[in-house]
Amino acid sequence: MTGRLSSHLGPIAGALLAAMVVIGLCGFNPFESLILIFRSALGSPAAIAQTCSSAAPLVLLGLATGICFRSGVFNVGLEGCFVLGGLAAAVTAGHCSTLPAPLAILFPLLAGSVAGSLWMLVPAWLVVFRNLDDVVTTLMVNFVALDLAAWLVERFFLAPGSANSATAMIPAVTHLPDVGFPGLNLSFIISIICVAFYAAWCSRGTLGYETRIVGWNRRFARATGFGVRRILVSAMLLSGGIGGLAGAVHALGTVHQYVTGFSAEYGFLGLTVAILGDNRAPGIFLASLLLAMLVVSGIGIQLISDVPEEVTRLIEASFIIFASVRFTGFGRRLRNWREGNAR
Amino acid sequence: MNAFLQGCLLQTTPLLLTSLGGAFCRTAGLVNVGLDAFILVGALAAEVTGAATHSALLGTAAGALAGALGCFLMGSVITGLGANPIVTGLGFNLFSHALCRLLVKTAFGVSGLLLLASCPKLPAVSLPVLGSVDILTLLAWALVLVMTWFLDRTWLGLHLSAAGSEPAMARTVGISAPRMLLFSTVVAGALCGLAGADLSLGIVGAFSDDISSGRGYVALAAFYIGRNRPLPTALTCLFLTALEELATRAQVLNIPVSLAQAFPYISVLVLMLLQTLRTRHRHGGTLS
Amino acid sequence: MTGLSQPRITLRNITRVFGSHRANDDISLEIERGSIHAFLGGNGAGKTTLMKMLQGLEQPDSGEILFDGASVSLGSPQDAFRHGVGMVQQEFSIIPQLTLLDNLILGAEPRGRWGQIDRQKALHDAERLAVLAGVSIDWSLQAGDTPLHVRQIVEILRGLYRGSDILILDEPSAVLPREQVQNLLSLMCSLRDRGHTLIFISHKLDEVLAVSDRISILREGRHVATLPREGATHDLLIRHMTGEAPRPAPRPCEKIGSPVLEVDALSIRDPRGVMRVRDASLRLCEGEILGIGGLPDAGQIELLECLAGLRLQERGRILLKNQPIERSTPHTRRTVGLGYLSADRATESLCLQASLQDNAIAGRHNVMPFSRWQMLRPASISAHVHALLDRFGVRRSDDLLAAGHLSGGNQQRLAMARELDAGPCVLLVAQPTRGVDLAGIHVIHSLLVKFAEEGGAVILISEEEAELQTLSTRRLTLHDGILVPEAELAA
Repeated sequence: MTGRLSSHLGPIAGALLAAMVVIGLCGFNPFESLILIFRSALGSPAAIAQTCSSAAPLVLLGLATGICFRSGVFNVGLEGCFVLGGLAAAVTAGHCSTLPAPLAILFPLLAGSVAGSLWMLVPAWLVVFRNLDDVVTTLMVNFVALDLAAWLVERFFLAPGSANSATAMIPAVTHLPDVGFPGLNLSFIISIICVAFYAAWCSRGTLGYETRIVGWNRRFARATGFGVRRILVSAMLLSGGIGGLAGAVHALGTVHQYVTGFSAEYGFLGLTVAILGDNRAPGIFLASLLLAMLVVSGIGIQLISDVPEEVTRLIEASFIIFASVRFTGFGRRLRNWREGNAR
Repeated sequence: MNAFLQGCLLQTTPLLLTSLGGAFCRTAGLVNVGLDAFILVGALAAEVTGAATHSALLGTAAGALAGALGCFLMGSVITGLGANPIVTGLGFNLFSHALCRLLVKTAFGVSGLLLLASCPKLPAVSLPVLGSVDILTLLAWALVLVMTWFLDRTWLGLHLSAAGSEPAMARTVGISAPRMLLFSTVVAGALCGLAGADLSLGIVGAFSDDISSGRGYVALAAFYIGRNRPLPTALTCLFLTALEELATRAQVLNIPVSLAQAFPYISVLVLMLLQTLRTRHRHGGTLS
Repeated sequence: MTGLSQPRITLRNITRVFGSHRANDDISLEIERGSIHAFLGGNGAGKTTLMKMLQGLEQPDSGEILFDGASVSLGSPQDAFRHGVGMVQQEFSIIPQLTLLDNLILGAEPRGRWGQIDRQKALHDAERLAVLAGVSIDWSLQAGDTPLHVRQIVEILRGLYRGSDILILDEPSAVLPREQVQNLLSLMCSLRDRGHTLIFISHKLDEVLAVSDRISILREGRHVATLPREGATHDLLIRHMTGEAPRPAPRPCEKIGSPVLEVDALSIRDPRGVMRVRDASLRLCEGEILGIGGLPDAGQIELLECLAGLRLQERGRILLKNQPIERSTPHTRRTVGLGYLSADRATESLCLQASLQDNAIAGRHNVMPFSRWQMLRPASISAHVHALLDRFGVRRSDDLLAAGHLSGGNQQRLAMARELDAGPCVLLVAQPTRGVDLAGIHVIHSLLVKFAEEGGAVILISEEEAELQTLSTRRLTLHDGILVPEAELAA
C-alpha cells in the first residue's frame, strides 16, 4: 500500500520541484507563489467550496479518459467533447427559462452529454473501424471541434452585442444550485455520484471487465469471442458522453455561457487526472481536487499579488509532464543506459 | 500563380522542418507530441537573440539551440523517468506556452505579441521561377536529402532505426535505445527551433504566443502519413500547405475564417483515411 | 597457450537465488573447446538462468565463471561479448524491418569516413561467411519477408561475424521445419569442427543425441549429471530429467461417432493476398483426434484461425453441428460449440496480465452464472473458478494472481480448463506442448485423449511428429495449402 501511494506522490513532488525551479528562474519567489496558490484555493471556506466545484469537470473528464485508457485507446479527444458539450448545454439552457428547475437543469446536462457522445462517434469510427492511429486522430478531431464550436457560435448563437464570440448568458433557473454551502454547487455531487458509478462499473460491470481485458490484450479478447469493436465503440461513446457532461457541468455551474476560451485545456488536464490517478476512482477524485486548486488559484493569485496567472499554468503543465513518471525502476533504467554505453 | 507557389514554399518551411524532426524521433521510437513546444521556444529565443545581436543568423542558431535543449529535457524525462511520451509531450506544449507568456510578460511587459524593432529578418535568396525565398527554406529541403542519406547510408542511422523498431533486440547487439532516443530528440528539437526561427524572423516577423498555430500537431500527422520517410513526409507537408493556401485564398469566396482554420486538421484526417483505404484493400477483412 | 589444455568454460559452484527460489544451486561443470555441449532439463530446471549468466544478463550470487581457466566477471552483455560469447536467441534478435545484411552487421558495421556504412565490404564478408556455412542467402531481402530458418542462420552467422567463438543456441530448432533442422544440425557440426564451442539447449532428445559431444542435465536448479554422448540413451536422459522412468504415452480409443464439423472447399488468403489454403475439405466425427501435419507455415495456423473465426475465408463452407458458421463471429461459433487453443499461448490463449479468474471466465463472462443484468457476480465466479482450476490441477497460490506468474505447463492447463469448461464439441488445438516440460506434456495429452473419449472431436496441429503419432486417430497433411491424407503423401 505504501508503495502504491509513494508511486503517486513521486510525480506530484517532481512536478512541484520542477515548476518551482522554473518559477524561481523567472524571477519570482517560488515558495511565496506556492503559498499564494494555497491561500487563494484553500484560504477561506468560500475558496474551498469553489475549488470543490471546479474539480467536478476535471473529475468527469478524468473518468472519461480513464474509461478509454482501460480499453487501450489513447483518447486525447475529450477536449472536443468538453467544448461541444458545453456549447450544447449553454444553447439548450437558453431555451429552458420557462421550465421548472429540475428539468431546466436536466435537459442542458443531457444535451451536453449527447453532444459529447455524438462527437465521439467521429474518432470512434476512424479509430475502431478504420484503424487510424488513436493519438493522432483524436488530437486532430479536437482542433476541428474547437473550430466548429467557434463557427457555430458566430453563425447561430452569438449573443447580441457581444464583441468576442460568446453565447448569451443562461437564465438563472438553469444555474446549478448550491448544495448545503454557498459556492459548493450541484456539480460536486454529480461528480461524486459518477465516481461511485465508475468504481462499481470497473469492478462489477461486464463492460468494465470487457474493456479491461480488451485493453490488456486485444488478440486474446478476439479469440475468446469478445465483440472487440462493439466494446471499443461503447467505451469511446461512454467516454464522450461523460466528457460532454463535464462540459455541460462547467457551463451551467461556472461559466454560465459558452465563450471563446471556455476550456482552459481541460481535456488535457483530464488526461493528467486519469494518469495521476492510475485510472482508479479514488485516485482520479484526489488528483482532480489537486489540479482544481491550480485552476481556481490562477485567477485569484493575480488579484492579490503581482504574480501573474501564468505561474499556475506552469505548475499545471509540470503536473502533466510528470503525471506518468514512476520513480520506481529508476535504477534498472539507469543500468540499461550504462550497458548501452559500455561498448 | 508564381505568388501562389512562392507562398506555398515559404509556408511549408516551418511545417517541413518540424515534421522532419518528428520523423527523426519516430524513427528512433519516440512519438513526439511536444513538437509545438519547441517551435514556440525556438521562435522566442530567435526573436530575442536576433534583436540583441542584430544578426538573424545568430538568432536562428539560438532558436535551434533552445529547441534542442528543450527537446532534450523532454527526452530525458521520458527515458530517464519512464514517463509516457504522449502525455509528457502534451505537458511540454502547455509548459512552453505558459513559460513563453510568462517570460514575455515579465521581461518586456507585453502580453501576446512581441515585436522587437531591432530584430533583423532572415536573409533571402532569389530563385528562378519561385522568386525569393529565405535561406531556411533552402536548408529545409536540403535537409530532406541529408536525412534520407543519413538514415539509409550511415551506421548511426542504422542504429537509430534498429533501436526504434526493436529496442530489446537492438540491446542484444549493444545498441542503447535510450541513447539513440535522446540523440534523436536533440536533432528534432533543433529542427523545431529552426522552424520557430523561420516563423519569428521570417514569415511572421514577430513573436506571439500562438505563433506555431498548431503546426506541431499537423507535423505529427504529416510524418505519420509519410511513414517517417523524409521525402514522402516533405511532400505531405507541401500538399497540406498548398491546400491551406487554397483555403485562405478561398476566404474571398465566403468560407468563414473559423471553418477555414479547421482545414489542415480535416485534410490530415482525410489523407490518413485514404491511406488506410488503400492498405485495407490489400489486406481483406476480418470478422468481429 | 594455457588455453589449449584448459576447458573453454568452467563453472564453479554457481548459485543464483530469486527470492526463495534457488534457480541455480551450486552448479559446477566444464565445457570443452571445439565441442557441442547440450543442456537438458524441464521448465524451471535453471537452464535459462545459467545461460543468462554466461551472457552477462544475470550475475551469480556466488561461485565463479572461468574462460580458458581465467576467472572473468560478466557484468553486461558487452562484457560477455568481449570474451567471445555469442547468443542465438530463442526468439530471434533479428529485426524484421531491416535487410538481412543490415541485421548481420548491426552494431559492428564497417564504417567509412563520413560515418557511412561500407555495404560493399559488408556484403563481401557476408558472402564469405555464407560460403563457410555452406548456405546461399540473398542478403538484400528484408528480414521480415524471409522464412524463419534463414533468419536463424543469419543470427548464427552474426555471432561469427562479430568474432564470437562460443555460441549459445537456445531451442534453435523449436520453430524450424523438419528438414531445416537437419541443415541446422550439420551447420552446428561444421562450426564445431572449425573449433567453435557450441552450447545447445533443446527439449528434443533426438537432436541432442544426434550432435552433442557431452550432455549436462539440470533438474530443479541442480546439476544432475554430465554424460558423454556414447553413454547416453533416450530413457536414461528422461530418467535424469524427471527423476523417474518414462511413462507410457496416453492412447486415444478408436470409438468414432457421428460427424460434428464439416468443412467444404475452404480457401484462405493471407493479408498480403497469398493463397494459404486451397479448397480444403474435411469431416470430423465425435471421438476423433484429427492430426494435421506439414511443414511449418504451410497454412495450418491459417486454417485453424479461419475455423475459429479469427480470419475470413475467401470462399468455402463450414458446418458445425449442421449449422453454417462460416460467416459467424468467434462468439457465435463458441456458443455453437467450438473451442480454440492458439499456438500463441502467451498472447492469444491467455491474457497474462489478467487474473486466473478473469482468464477462466473470458468469453462466458456475460452469461449466467457469471453475470446477470450486465453485472458480474463475484461470489459465484470465484466458487466456480476455484473448483474448475482444482479439477484441472492448475497449481497456484491465489485465483486472483496474474496468469503470467504461472509456468508454461500450468498456463496451458488454465487455457484448457477454460475451453473445456464451456463444453465444446470441437476443440481446435495448435502446438499444445510448445515450451512445456515432459511432465506437463503428459498431462496435456491425457486431457486431450480424455476429451475425445467423452465424445469430443479434436483438430490437432503440431510440429512434433511424435505428438501427432501418439495422439491422432487420423492424420492429414497440409502441403502448399492443399490437404492430403497421410497415406497419399507417402505414396
